[in-house]
Amino acid sequence: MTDASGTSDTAVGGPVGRGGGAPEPKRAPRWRKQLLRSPIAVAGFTIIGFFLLVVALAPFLAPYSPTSQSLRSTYIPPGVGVSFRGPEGQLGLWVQQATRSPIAGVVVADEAYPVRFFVRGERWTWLFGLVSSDVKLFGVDGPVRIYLLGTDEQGRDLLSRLIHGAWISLFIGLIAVLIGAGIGVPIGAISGFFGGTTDIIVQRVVDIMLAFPGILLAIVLVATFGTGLQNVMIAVGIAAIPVYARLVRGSVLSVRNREYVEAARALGRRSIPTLAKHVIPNVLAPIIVQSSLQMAIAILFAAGLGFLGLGARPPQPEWGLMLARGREYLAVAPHVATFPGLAIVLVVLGFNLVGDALRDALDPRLSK
Amino acid sequence: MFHRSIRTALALVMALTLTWSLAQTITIAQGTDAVSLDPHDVTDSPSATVVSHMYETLFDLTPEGDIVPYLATGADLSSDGLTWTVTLREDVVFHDGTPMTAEVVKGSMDRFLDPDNAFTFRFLLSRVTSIDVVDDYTLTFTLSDQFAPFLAHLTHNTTAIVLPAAVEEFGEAFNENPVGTGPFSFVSWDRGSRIDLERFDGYWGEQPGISDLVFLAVPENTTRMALVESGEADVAVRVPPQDIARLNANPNITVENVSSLRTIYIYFNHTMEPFTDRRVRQAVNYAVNKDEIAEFIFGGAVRPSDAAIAPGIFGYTSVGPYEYDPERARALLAEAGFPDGFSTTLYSPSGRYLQDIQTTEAIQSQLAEVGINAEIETLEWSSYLDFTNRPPADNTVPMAMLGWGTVTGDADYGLYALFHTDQHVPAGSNRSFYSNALVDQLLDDARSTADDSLREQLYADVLQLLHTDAAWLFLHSETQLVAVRDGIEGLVIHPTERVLALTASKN
Repeated sequence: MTDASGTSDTAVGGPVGRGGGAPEPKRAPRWRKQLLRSPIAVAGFTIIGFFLLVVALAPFLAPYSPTSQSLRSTYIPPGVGVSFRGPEGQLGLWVQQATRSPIAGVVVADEAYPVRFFVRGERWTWLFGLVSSDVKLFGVDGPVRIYLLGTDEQGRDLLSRLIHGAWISLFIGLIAVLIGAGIGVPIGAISGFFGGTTDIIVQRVVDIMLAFPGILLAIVLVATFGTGLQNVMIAVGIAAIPVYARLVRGSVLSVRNREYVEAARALGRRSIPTLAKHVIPNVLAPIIVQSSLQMAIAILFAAGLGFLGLGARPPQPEWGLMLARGREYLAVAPHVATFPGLAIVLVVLGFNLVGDALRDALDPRLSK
Repeated sequence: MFHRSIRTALALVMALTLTWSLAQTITIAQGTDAVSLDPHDVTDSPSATVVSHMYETLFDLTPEGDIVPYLATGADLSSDGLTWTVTLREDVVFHDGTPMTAEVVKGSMDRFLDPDNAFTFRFLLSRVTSIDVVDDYTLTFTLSDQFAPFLAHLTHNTTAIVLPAAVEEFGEAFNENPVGTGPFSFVSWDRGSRIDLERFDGYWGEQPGISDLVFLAVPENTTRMALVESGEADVAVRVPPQDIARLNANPNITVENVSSLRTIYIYFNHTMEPFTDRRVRQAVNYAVNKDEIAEFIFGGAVRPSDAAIAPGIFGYTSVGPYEYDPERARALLAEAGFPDGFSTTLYSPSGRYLQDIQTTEAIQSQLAEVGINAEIETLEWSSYLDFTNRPPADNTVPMAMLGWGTVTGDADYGLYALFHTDQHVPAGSNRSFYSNALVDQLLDDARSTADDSLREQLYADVLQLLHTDAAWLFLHSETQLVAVRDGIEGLVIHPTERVLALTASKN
């Protein structure tokens, strides 16, 4: 992963402006076609699309609230009490109450209740109050709860927590990338475009920031600002600034003496408008690639901070935090740590695949 | 000739067996490394556990709660109740061969009491004004005021006898060069990892059945359990409740369950709205299902509190729990002017006590059911202590979880420090700023009388008042869950949260 972010600036830094002239509208269809042909890209986009869908529909998909606990049903293994045949052999999903007794272990009650789709449950509002409903994708028709992925150590439904936790990871990633790119790109562009003393000062500061491994920088920042989701986003975002600054500087250096930039200068355009109108659009490709990879890094960092107890606060269903708590139960209930771990792996994989595919598609040297 | 060689061989075998059985090592895996090996400076149980094998106190608290002579042979109180005469054993030597005399004990006590040294537990003996040597093995302690828990406080491991000459010799490094009178002497300390002790052959009491004792610091629960499962450690402390059944299923391991003198509670800040209202505090107590937490978060391994101190402590009386009653909680909240509940912050340690954050989360969820919206704040342990240790004006903590081990086995230590008005933080340990003139009076009286039955009555009254006032959200008294491999005999899991291998042996 670090590897990917490190190589991307050489792989895609220079070639975008190759061929000279103004930005070329003809190239777009070609890379788009190539992207759609690439199985890697399709896999990546499918994964990301899946998670976006989960975020968008979270309260509809999740059978329960992420914080509703049942101490009588702690760390029930996945699927216990769920069967595909009813008491009289009828088909469908049926659920029997699973509880944990300190002495007897998991106990499954006799009565089975059917699972129904599009049932009414607790009322929810989502997407900043835009959507409000009480319809759930599925629910049990009876006084029992269904635990498809089992429960955690507080008896909370793991599936509901994973679903409700998806937005946290994606949102942290998005905000962190926006912060990193929003600050890193202008800094890098100015540094590369003007050169001289500005360049030296900016690049030495970037050197200092790059000297810390990203996660360490994020830990130091969170320790300084205090824990909590908001600070995690800021810290992970700041940790991404030097990466962008270095990357954009390199790309800007490679285009700043091109004919179209000189033409703009000759026409009397001032520096900042030239930079904004002619230089930055021509270095967008590496920024896009880096942002996709940076999403993966940010999600991983955020989960790492949550794991260390520096990120989300309990009982927030943040995946890193869930993983850390589940670890205590690894010997008796491996599912509590496994599912959040898988979710992190999957979403990070999705962004990495997309990033790789984008890089391949946008790099003309690799096109057939 | 043949006969003789058989005899020689037999003798050799016996000698070998004997040496083998004598050269036994017991390894104890603790959750954290010792912080200090200077007994006067010890404030945590892992350090106390290690130090108790090398240093000894004048009196000892048995696991059953009796105070018995240890380095002392007895003590007499003068008729005015202000002078204790303590006689010492005459056969005690330190690990470097120096005999223990009254002069040495005085030197050790003077060091402990010197205000310049500012030892945390100095308050245990703060009523001692002077210590005088009568003869080689007799000395007197003069008190400023009558002080009933005196002997109980002399059992506290921080009052252990050190060798003043060694303190002088090592200076700052005394902490890393222990010289005591205990059955084990110091070998080495690899900070953060392990401490090695060996049997002290000149020990005055019963010789340990093992030659070496090792303490490992293993913070990760799963790793610590794996060590005892694999046999790399013989004893592992703080078994997570969810692992009890699994470890007990192992034919070589038994999980011991010994009650502790530590009480876990969530205190209210009595200077902060809305916890100034007794009805609100009672409502919180009714809203939390302590029995369910004890059964399902701890697998039944803790005891829900029915008083501010745990059973087994002198002065304990059951004053009844607050039964789980969410209806009553809602009614009390409405009466107090919060029909829709309120929002607050609940501070919690994470990983300091058994299942601490799990308990806090369960409580948060139960409070939400009666309308109290408590946001959980977890801090790293030292900043946690700092945050909760501020004077009322700077204190922003409305509710926080803490534990207090009454390791002297006497209610004075558990109640005076936590509830007396003089003990408000940062001067004392009363972090809740609880203040009740009647409680103060009763606590003062109980300190200054020597009549045990009167003291018991006074403490019973204090406990009843604390209960009625709902001074805390009462939770549970902790249990020590210790995994022990078969073949370890004579290990003592002391209610003061020390694992003692003083007379242990290994087969």
